[in-house]
Amino acid sequence: MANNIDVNTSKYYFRDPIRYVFRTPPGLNAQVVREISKQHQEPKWMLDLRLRALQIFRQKPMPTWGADLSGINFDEIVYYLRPHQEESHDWREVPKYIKKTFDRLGIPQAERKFLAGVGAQYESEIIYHNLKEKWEKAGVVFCDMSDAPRLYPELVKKYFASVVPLADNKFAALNSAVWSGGSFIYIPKGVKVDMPLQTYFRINSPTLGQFERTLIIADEGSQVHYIEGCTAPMYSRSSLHSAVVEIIALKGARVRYTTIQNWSLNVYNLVTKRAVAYQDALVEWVDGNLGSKVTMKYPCVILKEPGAKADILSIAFAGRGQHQDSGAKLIHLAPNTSGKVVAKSISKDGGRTSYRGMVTVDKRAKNCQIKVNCDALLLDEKSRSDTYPLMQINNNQVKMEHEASVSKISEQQLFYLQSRGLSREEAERMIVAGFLDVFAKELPLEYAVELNRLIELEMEGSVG
Amino acid sequence: MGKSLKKIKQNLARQAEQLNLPAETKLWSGQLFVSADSSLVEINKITAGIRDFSKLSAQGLKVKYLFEVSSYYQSQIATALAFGSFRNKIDLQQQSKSINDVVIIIPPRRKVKLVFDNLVGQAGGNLFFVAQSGSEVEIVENEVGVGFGSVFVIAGKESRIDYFFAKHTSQRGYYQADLKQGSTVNFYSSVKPKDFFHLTVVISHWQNFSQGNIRSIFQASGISKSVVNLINYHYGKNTKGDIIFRGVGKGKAWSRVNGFIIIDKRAFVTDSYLQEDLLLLSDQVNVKAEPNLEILNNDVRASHGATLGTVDDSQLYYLRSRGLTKRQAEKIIEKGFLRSVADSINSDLIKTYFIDQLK
Repeated sequence: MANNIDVNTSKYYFRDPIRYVFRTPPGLNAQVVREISKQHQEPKWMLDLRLRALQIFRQKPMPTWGADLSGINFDEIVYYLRPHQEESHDWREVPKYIKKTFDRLGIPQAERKFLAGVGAQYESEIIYHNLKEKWEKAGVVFCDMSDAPRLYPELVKKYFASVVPLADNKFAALNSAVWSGGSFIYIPKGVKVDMPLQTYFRINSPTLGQFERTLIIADEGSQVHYIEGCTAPMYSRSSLHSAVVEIIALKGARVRYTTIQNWSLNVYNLVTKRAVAYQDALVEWVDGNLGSKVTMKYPCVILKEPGAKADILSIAFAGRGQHQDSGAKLIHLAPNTSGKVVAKSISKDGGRTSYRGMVTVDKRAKNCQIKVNCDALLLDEKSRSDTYPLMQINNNQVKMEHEASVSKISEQQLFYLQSRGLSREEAERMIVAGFLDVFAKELPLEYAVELNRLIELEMEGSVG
Repeated sequence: MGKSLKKIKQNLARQAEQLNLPAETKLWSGQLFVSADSSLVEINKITAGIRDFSKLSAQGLKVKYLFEVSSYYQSQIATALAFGSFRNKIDLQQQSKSINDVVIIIPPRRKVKLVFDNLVGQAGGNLFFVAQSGSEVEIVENEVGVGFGSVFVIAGKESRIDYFFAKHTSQRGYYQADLKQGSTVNFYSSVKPKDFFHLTVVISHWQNFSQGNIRSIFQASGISKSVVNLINYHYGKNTKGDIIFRGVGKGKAWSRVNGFIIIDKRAFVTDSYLQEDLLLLSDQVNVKAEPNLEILNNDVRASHGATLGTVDDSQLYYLRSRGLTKRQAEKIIEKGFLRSVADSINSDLIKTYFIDQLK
């Protein structure tokens, strides 16, 4: 069955040399951290915080569970680089085959240039600009995280590292020490942002960092949808991507965070994502993991006050040599909270997907309802799929369900489709797309289209 | 004792030295260690008690010490002992240090019903059942005192073994079955941990067309602390495995339930299922359920389910409207919940013992 699916991984390997205004020497020490802080013109308290995080990073051992991380060498990594403001890159210089890939994926023109590394030159952002003005009038803050400590010190001081503390884990500590870039979002009371906020709205900021830090604060009764990442293969110069995302959903707020990531195959993608939901707030994580060598990512929601809700939807696609160790965490601390997790994974060509989930219900959290559902599809006999759900229940008034199943594409379904005139490959592709349909439905239209095409490409194995 | 066995035991001891205690066991490791180590010293005093094998021999079984059996059996036992990835430090220490291991050999094509007191386990020894091809055995193990020995079942070709054990006073248990071609092994267990308890049940399908099931009921109450590991390891093709765990948590019970299905690269056409249901009857119970799957090929059917919850209000209401108190009603629901496991037991002998546990 697997023979007719052949993935051409070379599509991930494109790069453009980049000139830097500034870059730190490889390796990590206090001097580097100070330099990063200086470049951002940060207040002193932020520098102190960074230095404290660095110390914690040094003390913490490497995690021994989960994926194999032995390939990371912390001394070889360049922790900060600032690209040249007036980059000489031209859209015309971008290799043809990359343009072709973008064409086939149907990526908007604005995003294409950004992806190809010519973002700084991109100026036709009129539509986005108009939208931006509308939000700014309502008091919405949407800026580069690097500027936030300077511009909004009270908010940042209050909420930064409040959800993911410095000592949370080794990579959160690393991020806290050397972070640069990412988004800072504040939605004032009662404001509903109906258009999804997307990273490429602030495309003029320096390229996507490897240690980005995102902080989203949704004040009481507000609503926001944030989209990060993109479905197109993104070439990263560094082998380690370690981001931290913190979301604070205050009383009655609704926050949805959508990510689709398709890193190049040399990247260790180790991300800490966590949200706190206060009374009657709703936090939704929609998380897609396609590329990278190793992904370890467990979006988490802490349901802190009564009536809070969490909804986590995650998909993972692992091809040759990839290990997607993803999952979800729900921590119920208050009564009448509910959580739902749907995880889907596909492994092919010897790829490995793992679902690693955790549901913790505290003593105080009576009348909780939790439903966890994970399905895995194995496309060939070399691939591997693991499920490690953990359920920790400390009181008895809980309804908790967990279901999981692992299977291959059923011959019956294939036969049905083939008897309708589809080739076997088309039929397989259709079944895989159907398997991920729940996920695609949750995406904005353009992303859903991209995702479908990307899956098609992955299955087809030829790009351009 | 054969050379290879000695080597394997030394190997186990070495592994035990390197291993750290799992986090949850550390909480009460003191207790377990004392019983494991101090009793091992006194083993020679108790051996006299186990010498009396007459009851077992009467059924035509060969009962011997491990060093007495022929090298054919020793090599089989050595392989069973060598496969140790699911053992923790305490299991390894007990298995490597024990010197009075007993082997019970069931001759080919014999049907045997066996009810025995596990004195070997009480003395810290390992018990090996070697069922030869085509034999059918129903075993009921009675717990004697604080037993802490391991039990190994080696199921020969086309053999069928039903094994029942109850644990009330013991602090640990380790049960392992090695399945050969076409064999079936069913483990039935009833556990009521008193204070500290650690149980591991492993079924490994080494050859094709075997079937291994685990049915376990579990009643944790008081301030008991317990860890239960239920593992189905598929190595051969066309193998079937089914784990059903039903537990009730009362009082301040603390328990960890880890299920594991592992399907190896060559194990095609396997059918494996894992179900963990827990009924929580007090708001101070602390339960952690972890039904894990590791699947390394695609021609499988593997699924698992887990539910945790309290007594259904409508059921409670129904029973209380018939004049029962809340306590009585809960008891009835609890018994029914656990009893339903017994429905799938084929052996009448084991079924009676199993249901006995619910009284």
